[in-house]
Amino acid sequence: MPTFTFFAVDKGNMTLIQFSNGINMMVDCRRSADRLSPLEYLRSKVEKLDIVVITHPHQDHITGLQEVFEFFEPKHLWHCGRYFKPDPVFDDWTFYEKVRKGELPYCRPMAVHAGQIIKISESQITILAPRLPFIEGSPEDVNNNGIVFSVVSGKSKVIVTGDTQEEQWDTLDHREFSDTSILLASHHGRESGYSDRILKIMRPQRIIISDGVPCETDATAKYSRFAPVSTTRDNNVVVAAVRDVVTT
Amino acid sequence: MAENTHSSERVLTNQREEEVIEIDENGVVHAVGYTPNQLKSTVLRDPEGEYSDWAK
Repeated sequence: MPTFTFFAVDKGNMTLIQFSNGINMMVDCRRSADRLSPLEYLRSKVEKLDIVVITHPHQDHITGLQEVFEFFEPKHLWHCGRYFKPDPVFDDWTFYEKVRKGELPYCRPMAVHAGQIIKISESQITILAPRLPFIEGSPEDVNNNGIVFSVVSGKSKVIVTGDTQEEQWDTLDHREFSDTSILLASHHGRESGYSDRILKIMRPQRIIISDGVPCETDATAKYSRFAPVSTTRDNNVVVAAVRDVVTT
Repeated sequence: MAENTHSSERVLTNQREEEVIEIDENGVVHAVGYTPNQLKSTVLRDPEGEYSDWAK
């Protein structure tokens, strides 16, 4: 199975997936003033980057994107396909739009949507969201049209979310979420991304929350009722195939 | 920590070792450890479909 590194980037998401055939994928990109930069994190792990997935273009998912692209020149960008313009516009969003429009010669953008299946090495990536047509008029349309996908390798299933909220959880095919091994909690473990109903279907064995100092709406305690929770508040969390487990 | 230490070096020094979670060939997630050989096997999935109160 691939190795997943959930980087400690405080409030935000940045995940590296290293597939066993050498393909490297970064999901979201986040620069925190108190942490290594996204580029420094990546260079500590990989020598090349092939695919970048941006679940949705909020600031805590795309900062530091430009220096990562300029260094690694990834060949593929997967994006949610929905155009959003922030107010005010910020530099990382401007660069993201440039990539999304195909203006970089080395990178091919692709809008992904529910139902697509991509096989990389022995893993199968199933895009679970966004579903078409896009959700319109929800309290937070940017979050509710983001990419959600699963990575199934053998009998393990890792679910990677962005900031999905209840309105998007409601639209998804819940059968795809059963028997989850690892869940990256939506919206940094906040109440707004928490769904009791979807967790009962997933029955994850471990939940990862990518966040810094807990905010008032932190739902870590709720998640803990379903499975042990690991957070990136102090350090990176790595999920990998078992190598040398001591059973007692 | 010296004030002139590069920010990246400071962050690296302060950051703890990565937390490692391992999954075996049956899709079973094993206990958290800071080095793989310290891990203990624990099956966390509830075969009855009910959720334990262990974390409360």
